[in-house]
This record gives sequence, C-alpha cells and structure tokens, in this order.
Amino acid sequence: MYNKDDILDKKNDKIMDQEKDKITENNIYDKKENQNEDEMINWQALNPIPVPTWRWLGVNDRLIKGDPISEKSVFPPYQFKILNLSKLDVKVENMNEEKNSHLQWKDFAIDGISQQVGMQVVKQYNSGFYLETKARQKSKEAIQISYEFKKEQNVVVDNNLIHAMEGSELTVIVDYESLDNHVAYHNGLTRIYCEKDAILNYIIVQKLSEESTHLGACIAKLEENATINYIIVELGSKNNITNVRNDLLGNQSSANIHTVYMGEGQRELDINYICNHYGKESKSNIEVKGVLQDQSNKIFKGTLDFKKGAKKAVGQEEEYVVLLSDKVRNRSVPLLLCTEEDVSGQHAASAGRIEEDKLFYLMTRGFSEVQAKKLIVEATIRPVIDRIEEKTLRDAIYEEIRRKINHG
Amino acid sequence: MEKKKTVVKDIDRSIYDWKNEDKYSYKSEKGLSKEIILDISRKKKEPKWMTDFRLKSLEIYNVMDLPTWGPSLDDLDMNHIVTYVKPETEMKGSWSEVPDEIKNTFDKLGIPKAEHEYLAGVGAQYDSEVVYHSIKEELVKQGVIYTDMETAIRDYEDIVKNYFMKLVPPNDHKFVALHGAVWSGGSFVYVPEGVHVDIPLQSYFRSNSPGAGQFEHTLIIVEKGAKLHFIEGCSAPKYNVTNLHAGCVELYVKEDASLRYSTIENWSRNMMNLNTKRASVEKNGTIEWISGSFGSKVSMLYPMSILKGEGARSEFIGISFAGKGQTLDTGTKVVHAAPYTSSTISTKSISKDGGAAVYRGSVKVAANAHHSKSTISCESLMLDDLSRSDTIPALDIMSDQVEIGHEAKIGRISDEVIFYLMTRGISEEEAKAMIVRGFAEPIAKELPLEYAVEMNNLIKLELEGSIG
Repeated sequence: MYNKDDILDKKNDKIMDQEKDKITENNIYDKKENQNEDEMINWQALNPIPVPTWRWLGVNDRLIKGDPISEKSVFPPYQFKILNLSKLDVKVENMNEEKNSHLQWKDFAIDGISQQVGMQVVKQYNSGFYLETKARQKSKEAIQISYEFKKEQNVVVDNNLIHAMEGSELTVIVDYESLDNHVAYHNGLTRIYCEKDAILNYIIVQKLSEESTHLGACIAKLEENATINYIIVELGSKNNITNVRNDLLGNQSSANIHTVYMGEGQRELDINYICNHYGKESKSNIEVKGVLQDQSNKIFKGTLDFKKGAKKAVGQEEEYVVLLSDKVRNRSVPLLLCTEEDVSGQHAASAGRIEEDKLFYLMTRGFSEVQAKKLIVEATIRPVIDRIEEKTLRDAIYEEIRRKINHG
Repeated sequence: MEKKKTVVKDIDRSIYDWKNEDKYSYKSEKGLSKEIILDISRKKKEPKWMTDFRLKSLEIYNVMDLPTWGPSLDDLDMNHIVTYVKPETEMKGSWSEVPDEIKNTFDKLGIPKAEHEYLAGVGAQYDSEVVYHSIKEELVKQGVIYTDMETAIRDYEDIVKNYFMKLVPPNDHKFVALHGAVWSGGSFVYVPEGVHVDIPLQSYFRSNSPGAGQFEHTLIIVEKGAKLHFIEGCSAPKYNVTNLHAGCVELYVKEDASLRYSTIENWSRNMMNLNTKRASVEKNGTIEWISGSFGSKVSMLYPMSILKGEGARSEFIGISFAGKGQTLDTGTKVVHAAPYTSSTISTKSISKDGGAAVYRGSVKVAANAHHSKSTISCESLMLDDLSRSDTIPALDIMSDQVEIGHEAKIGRISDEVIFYLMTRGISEEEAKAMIVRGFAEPIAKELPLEYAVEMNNLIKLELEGSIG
C-alpha cells in the first residue's frame, strides 16, 4: 500500500533520475529545494494512487507549488446560492456541527486527496450544504448550488453531505465559478450516501480563475442497487487536484463518472478516481475526455479495484485526450486491481493529435484551422456534455470551451 | 452438488530441483564489504578501472534506498547473501572437460543436446562463473564474438570498457549498484556490421549454491545492419534460504540492426529475481523481447527499450504465471526519444493458488519524438479468488503528434465462449483447455520450438470441470 516514507526518499530518487532525465527532460514535478520541511510534508503527498509505482514517473502523489493556506487559518463564512429549491421536495440546510459530526458520516475516510486536505474541510469549513432527499421521491428538475468567487470572497472551504434516501432520484448541480480574475482558493469535500435503489446525478462544473487552486473530493458509498452518475467539467484554476472515490458496497450498485477536462496555460491537473467494488454484480464506468493545450500538464489516475467477493462485477475505464500543443505533458495511470476471479475489468487510454486528414477535410469545407479544431474538440467532449439535461448549462460549457481553444 | 473445477497443475519442477552438493573452489564471505569486493576483483585478475568501478558501485549501493513500490523484499537480507561462488572448474570449451557433476546438471536441462541440434553457440554458467562456452566456427570466421565476460575484459578490453554499464549505470537503482559491485560471469556478444547470425545463441545460468547471489552481466553489441537472436535461460534448485539474482543485461542495437532476446525464467521459489535489462536502439533498429516468467519467489523485471534513433522499433511479448507464494511483478518500460519510433507491448498473465501477477509498465514519449506510435495490450486471467492480479501501467506523453493506445483486460473464461464452442460439438473440458492454451498461444508461438514445448509443459492442465 501507499507508503508515506516515499516522500522523504526523493533525494535518492534524484540520483536515480539523473540518467533518465537526460533522455526524458526534467520532471516538472521535481521537488522544490529549501522548502520548509514541516509545512510541506503533508502537502506533498496529495492524491496518492492506491498502489505506487516508479517514483521517477512522478505519478504516485504530487505537491502543489506555492504555500498552501496554513492550518490555523480561519476562513470568513460564506453563503452559497441555491436555485430551484422551491420546485423540489428536498431538504437543504447549511452545514452544521450536528450533521458534520453525526455518526453516519464519521466512517467516511476523508483521505482522498490527503488526510490534511480532508481535515481542513471537516474542521475549518466556511460553507457547505446538507442535502437530504425524500424516500421514493423522484425529482425531474435539478437543484443547483453555486459557489462564486470574487476579490472580497476568494476562499471557499465547503463541506457537503448528500443523503439520498431509499428509492429517491435527484440531480444536483454544483458550480464553482470565479466572477473576476482574483486568485481563488477552493477546498471542497462532498460525502454522499446512497441508500437502496437511490439514484443521484451529481454534476460539478468548475470555472475558477487562472491562478486559482482547486481541491475537490467526493466520497460516495452505495448500497444495494443504488446508482451515482457524476458529470464533472473542469475548465479553470491553476492547480487542479480532484479525487472521486466510490465504494460500491451493495449488490448491483453502480457508479459512473463522466468527465471533461481542459488544460490550458500552465494548468496542472491531477485527477484521481477510484472505484472499489465490494458488492456482487456491481458496476462502474469511468469515461474521461480531455483537451490539453499550451503548456498544461495532466496526470489522470483511474483505479478499478475488484475486492474479493465482488462476483460478476464489471468495471470499465476509458480516457481519450486530444493534444493541441507540443508543450503539453500528458500522463495517465489506469490501474486494474483484482483479488476476485469472477469479474470483468477493462481499461483503455489513448491520446492523439487531431488527425491531419480530418482537419484537412474540414478545411476544404471552408472552415479555418482554428474553427476546424473547435469542431473536433467539440465532437470529442460531446458524449459527456450531452449527458447534462439542462440546456443553458450545456450551452454555457460549449461556449466556454470554444472560447478557450485559441490557436494551433 | 459441488461445482467441479478444472485444475491447472502446478509447474513440475523435478528437473530444475536437481541439487548438487555445494562444492566450490572459492566462496566469498556472506554479506557485502569493500574487502569482499577487492577479493573478488583480485581473484578475477581484473584491470584497475574495473576494480574502481566495483568500489564506486558499492558506495552508491550503500547510500541508495530500496524501492518504495512493488513487492515486499523483506525476505532479502544482504548480510546473508554470498555474492561470489567460484565452481571447481575453469571455463572449458568442450563438455567432456566439464566436471561430471556440473555436466550432468546441464545434461538434465537439455543444454548440450540443444546446442547440438539448434544453437549456434552456447554459454553455461554455474553459480558465479561460466564453465562452458562454445561458438560455431563459421561465425568466428565472420568476426562474431561470443564469450564469457571475464574473457571479454581480458581480450576485448577496449570494447567492454566503452559499453560496460553505460546503458544501465550503477546509480539507476539499488540492485544495479549491487550488481556493479559484485557482478561475475555472463556473456559477451559482438556481431560485426552486416553479419546475420541466423541460428540463436544461448546462455544458460544455473545457480546451485544455497544462500548465494548470482550477478551475471550480459553485454550484447549488434553493429549496423547485423542481426542476432539470443536466448537466455535460468534455473536453480529449491533451498530453504533466500537466493538472489541481480543480473544485468545491456543490449546495444545499432543502425538497421535487429536483436531478438528471448528468456524463459524458471528460478526456484526461494529466489529473489531482481534483474535489470535494457536495450538502446538506434536508427531503424529493432529490439524484440520475448519474456516468460514462471519461477522465483519475487520477481521485479521490467526490460526497458530506449528508442534513440529515428524509426527505431521495439516489441515486447511477455507471459507470466504466478503460483502459490509467488509475486511476479513484471512488465516493460519504453522511452520514445526520437521521431517516428514505434513500440508494441503485449502481455498475458495467469495467477492461481494465491499467486500475485502484476503488470507494471511505462511508456514515455519525449517532446521530440513526433510521429511515434505505441500500442499496449495487457490481459490477465485469474484462476481462483485466492490470487491477485494487478495492472499498473503509466503513459507519459510530451509530444502532440503521437498515437498511443493502451488496453487492459482482466477476467475469467467467459461462459458464452464455452457455450459457443460446445454448440460446435466441442466438449466443455476441451473448450476450456482450448481457451487457456489459446490465451498463452500468442506468446508460445514466438518462442523457439523447444521453448514453446517447455512452456506448454509448464502450464499443464488437468481438466475436470469449470475454470474459475
């Protein structure tokens, strides 16, 4: 299993790396010298993969550059906005200590990104919602919650809990958006509990300003025949570290993660998805579509872990990345872990430049090169974005992506 | 009624478990120290640069840490490993001169027979030293060199000095540093420009001494436009103490040259197999790795291909079979460091009886390696729920003009496939046997015939009911 000593051992790594670096150029995640050790240690081991591999790849865990917000900080309270509530029969409250410390949520291990990052949310949150559905209540409309960042309010540490009662169905949309160019800091954790037969659609759209830090984690536990469908759209921030862990506890439970990410500028994305299969005939599906341009740098880690007893479980994982620049760095680590024979797991990852003949074809039809690229990128992300039923949101996402694809 | 299960038989190790009495003309002290290394170097009458190299490697070994990933190496206690065991014979050029006991061991393993029937040259190492080496006369006439490393240092010092541990430097990882300090034996192959060696050469490494380490060094240089197929075999009898194998293989494939490197590794289950293999491939050159891992207690083996020249190509075909008490952590690494390079990786693993089969790999595409292609496919088959099967690949891509595809599958034998075969008149048992054989087939067919037969013997099926 993941070993914290790994972090301390990097000096030796350097010796080992020297030769390889000659061939493969410098590792962008190379350790900063002269960091204050005490403060950095816990922040280095962010987003670890469940089973580590060669250190020189730099994918086992990562640090964020620059000083994180200190543990002692007290963040001014923040009130999220909520839309559509009146139309729905769900209970929403501001996060409070009674809920936060309730036994039910205690056994959620919060170390997805790291113990310290999770603890910051649980102990120092300045916002967050508690949402509870009604049993067997199926809502057609989505509830929309938005966290807006601006100069006066640039720190949100949100602690969210969603309790999907038996047989209920609901769509929750959560927006994280910068209203100005001010640097924002966001650390959020959503703990989700889906009871038997519940269906939860959870849509996250992140559009923080360019220099911001975005730490986003979700942990879901799923009982028998419960389903969670995530749609995650990552369009902003500088340091983008996200973690989704689904514990498929119940038989026939299922988890689907559909993600679109966009790398631009100097953005560093670190995406870590884990599906733990415990229940019989449990299902998971991870579908990731990415676009990388400029000098962006991405690590996608996706783990399907079939635990003993998860008979007839099925897991799938797929990532496709379109590369729009020769300065990007694109790393993928799709893990398949298995201790149960009677399962089927598959993963696939592929990357490629836009094929020249596709581009050429579009250009003969009168599109400029940039327009043609936009069309191709749009076609790539469509399978994920079109899952969003709210047209205005969907259109806004397409618009944002089109705007961001700037050059060849 | 209890569901009947097909039993995949354990590997029959009786041939390999043949033990000879632990006889030697010299054996170093247990553990590792400057004195031991100076002693080995003195016994080998080495030039000073090599002695210095050993000492430098020891220094690196002492400061480096163990890997923080991968299988547990807790059973390995370097203070109890004997690093150098010189057998009671000098190297011979004829089997009749090799002491009977040692010759009998190689006879049992079928080496002299294979030499006679289908090899162009043979090297045989027993513990720390090569005891036999031969090469066909016509190859010698074409300038092909195939000899043990000790002779190579003496007779071809300039070439060796130029290449030795340049591709795998001792600071690469802890066990390579150890290798640099205590290496002994191994083969040296030099194929001059344009020469095609059409019949394979084979080196066989046998470790007999309990609690010992084997650290052979294989150095192969295939010059421009030349061609070679090299086979490496290894085995050891089972002891109750831990043995260590930390060999090192360096392959230099020059422009337009091609090299196929086949290994069937069948160490006993007290062996820690921490081997390092690496190839550097120049313009339009080709490296092909055929790798079968069946033995050892723990294996950490990831042959690496560095595609340095434009149009260089690598292919890796691997199969591993992890049984009771085994952790076979194997895979491959590829670095695309030039434009128009291509790599294919295809691996299969089978785990049973609590064995753990891990595929660990990495494909790196440097920023200048435009128009490179890589295809990776990993498949694993679990035969029971006591076992473990993990796939840990990593892709690192820094160029936008590439085509990379990775696929991995894990699973059991599907009932639908069995049903389909049964509707075609094939019995259930036969259908399952076909599927397991079919699973290993793509690897088996790449092996020389004799090895394919050996592999099929290793994966013996006893069919009784369903698999899984």
